[in-house]
Amino acid sequence: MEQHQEKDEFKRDLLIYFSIIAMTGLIVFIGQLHLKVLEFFLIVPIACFEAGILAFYFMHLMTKKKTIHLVLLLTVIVFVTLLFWPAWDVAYSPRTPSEFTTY
Amino acid sequence: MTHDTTEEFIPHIVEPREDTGLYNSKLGIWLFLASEIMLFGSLFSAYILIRVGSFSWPVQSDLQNVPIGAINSIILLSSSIFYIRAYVALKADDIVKYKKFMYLVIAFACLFLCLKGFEYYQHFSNHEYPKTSVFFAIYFLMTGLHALHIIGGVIVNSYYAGPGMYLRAQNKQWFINRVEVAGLYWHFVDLVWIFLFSTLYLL
Amino acid sequence: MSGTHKKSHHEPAHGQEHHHGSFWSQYVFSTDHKVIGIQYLFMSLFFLLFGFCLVLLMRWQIAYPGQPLPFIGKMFGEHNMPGGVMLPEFYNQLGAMHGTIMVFLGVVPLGFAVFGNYLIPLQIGAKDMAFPRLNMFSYWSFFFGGLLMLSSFFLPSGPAGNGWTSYPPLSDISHDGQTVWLLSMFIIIISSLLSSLNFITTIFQMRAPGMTFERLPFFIWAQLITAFLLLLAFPPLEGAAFLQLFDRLLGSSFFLPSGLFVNGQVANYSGGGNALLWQHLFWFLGHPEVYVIILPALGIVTEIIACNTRKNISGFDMMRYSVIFLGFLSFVVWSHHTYLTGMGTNITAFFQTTTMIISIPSIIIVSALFITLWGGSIRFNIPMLFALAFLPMFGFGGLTGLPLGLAATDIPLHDTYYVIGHFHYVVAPGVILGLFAGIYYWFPKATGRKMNDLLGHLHFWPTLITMNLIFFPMLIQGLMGVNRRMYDGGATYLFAHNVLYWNVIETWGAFILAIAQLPFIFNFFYSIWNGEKVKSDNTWGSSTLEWATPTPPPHGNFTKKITVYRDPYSYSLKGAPKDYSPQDQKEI
Repeated sequence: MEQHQEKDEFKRDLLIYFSIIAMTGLIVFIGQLHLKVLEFFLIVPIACFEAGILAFYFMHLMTKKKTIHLVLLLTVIVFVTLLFWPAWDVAYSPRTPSEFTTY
Repeated sequence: MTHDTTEEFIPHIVEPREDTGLYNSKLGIWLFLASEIMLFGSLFSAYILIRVGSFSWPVQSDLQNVPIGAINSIILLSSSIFYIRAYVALKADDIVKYKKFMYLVIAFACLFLCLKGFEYYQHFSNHEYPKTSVFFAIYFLMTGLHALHIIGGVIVNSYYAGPGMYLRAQNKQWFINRVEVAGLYWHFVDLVWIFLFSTLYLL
Repeated sequence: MSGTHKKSHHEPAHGQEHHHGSFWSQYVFSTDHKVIGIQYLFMSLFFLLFGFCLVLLMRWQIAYPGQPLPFIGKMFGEHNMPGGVMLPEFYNQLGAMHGTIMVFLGVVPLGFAVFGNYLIPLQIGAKDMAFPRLNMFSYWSFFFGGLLMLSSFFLPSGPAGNGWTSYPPLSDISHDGQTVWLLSMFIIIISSLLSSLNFITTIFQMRAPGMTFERLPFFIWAQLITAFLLLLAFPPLEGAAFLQLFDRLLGSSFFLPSGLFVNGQVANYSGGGNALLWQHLFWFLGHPEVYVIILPALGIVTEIIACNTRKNISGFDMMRYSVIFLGFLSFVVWSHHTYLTGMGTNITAFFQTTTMIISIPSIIIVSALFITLWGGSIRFNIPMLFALAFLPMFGFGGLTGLPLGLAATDIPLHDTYYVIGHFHYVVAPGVILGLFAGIYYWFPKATGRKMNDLLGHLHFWPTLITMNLIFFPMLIQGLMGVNRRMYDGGATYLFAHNVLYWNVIETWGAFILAIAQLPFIFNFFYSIWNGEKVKSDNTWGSSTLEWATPTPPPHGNFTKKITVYRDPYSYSLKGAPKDYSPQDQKEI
């Protein structure tokens, strides 16, 4: 019985593995298309999804108790704030052309 | 000193606590990973701020070696799968298999580092250094920090596949927990790479 | 899940002092949380004193600009103080190191690491922290990080002099002291992160049977939230430190914009960076950091007030919810420190709103403590005096923060002495008084002797009075527009002349404050050996678990199995034989 469960889990892990590889290939392809702004909205969600299934299945996140979910939810909220506020501010606050920096 | 840290003195090192459902180091590693999310998050945030605030930004895939990056993604992902196999073997008391898969994890990690090193060498030969542009600066910093995390992981994994095996003789379940916790760290390192690759190579 | 292991020596009874290791393993490289707490205590008290001495030097210069410092002025060398007169560069270095040392090596370790390490296992009924070896590693990282920070004083160019906030571009291009600052901060942050995860794991996993979250003392709640703040807020500063180290050591331009002029010439950097990036990353930590400073002190004061009013804390539930809410909110207010950087009005309005909202939980907590006093049997012992003084001082300091939180009123007040007055009010007569209260309160448990009461009074009253004498006039000076970080104390500005005389009063207040600490230092060391011995394990008649141990607590803390039966502040319960009912006692 345990062996059977183990085999199922292995098959599932292999499935996740190949999905992530396929998705990696997909985002490489999308990257090559040079779609400017649209590529951000395609690549980032796919990358997030890849990371999500890795976390859920490989790191057994879906089986964890409330404690872990709570810690991670808190982290994600804080992290999203840190990630998106600066971008929004820089993009939408008034700036003279000379203030834009070249790389 | 060993008494102070045995499972008789400190509860829930080995068996989980009922109301939280966790043993200590599992909660500990998730908290550590939360802080690592914030660390890499701040660097991603810096990247976004600098890029959005810039007048022009290079086409990253032109400056980067995307094929090597993609291969590195597969390498790291494979090492994650090998780690799971190693852990399953350890739980099933199959030490030979456990060691075999751990060696594979370590080998693939070293392969990742070699390819990364080759990439860096390519950049340096092209006179592309952190001081060349902000793009390269952030690229070297983020991938460099990630590489340091890989090296740390390699050291821990080597210890648990080699000299650290005596811990298994002392307390089998504790050792299994240790490997599980190290595995979580390893998967996290893989996870960060997924984001690094997407952000620094493809966007 | 079998846990078989061999023991090489006979295992003595649980919780007994059996550990006859060497001096080194028992007192220096110990994994016992109490020893580690005391190690942190000596280090942080030393750093507090050292940081205080730095500002005493500065205060002379502010009050008497350009005049040689008598007696000791020549000792600082021709490079820093030629002829005993302080140079502006040295003034800046003293200022930056005063801030850095006081915050990161003094107050936070004292509040979080000292009291947290010593008390968390005791108050939750555990034998030690969840990760004792990691705890020891945290301490020694802190030790070496602190030592590295101090060592920067011996660099040829001296320590960092760019403010405790280290804003670029100045910090990017300044001398070596800044690199040492960054490396020390990195080590200190590692220490802090590991401690935080240790505390959180301990609080979740090691509570004694019956100790539900609702029965945890408020001190533990405060430490738990503080640990989360440290865990999640410090890494961005670590990231920022990496960015600045790259700039300084590898020539990158994370914080250096294009076309920067340095010493009259266009600087040779790639450019493309943004100096504001550092400010946001720094304050993303910086704001939660101030809650890290205040929460342990709030926890300590709550314990002392409950015990010395012999009643339960009024609004204890509200206090718990408030402290959780405060923790969440503290992450979304940071940009009230960057109002004057050219932010758009939309984002300014956002941060102004969140800043106003965050004052609500703080007010609830302080009000709950005030209300607790009503109808209580107040005992005016030394810890209680400090705790009582904390309430109005912290409350007042918090109120002075409101004009700073509102963007419009912040415009004339930003970077003036008003800001210095505000934050020193909350930290000095606020937090530090709370921390002193904790030392007087738990000293008997840790040593078995009480500190001397007369010396306590000699410490308390002058400290309270001089702290007000120093920091209240700063509010006035700030309102008149005197800028901060000016080494002549504002003498160059005409509009400041009416309020310059306060500088002299503040300086002499600071000197008297320094003298007022001498009774405390003497009292502390004297009482360890010669203090009045306590007559019982529970000196103050408290109901929380840390008093249910022998005095001082042995390795393993408790001599019997602990089960928790009631709430933490079970004072004056109906039908109880005494006016306190210990948490671990089955009968009321």
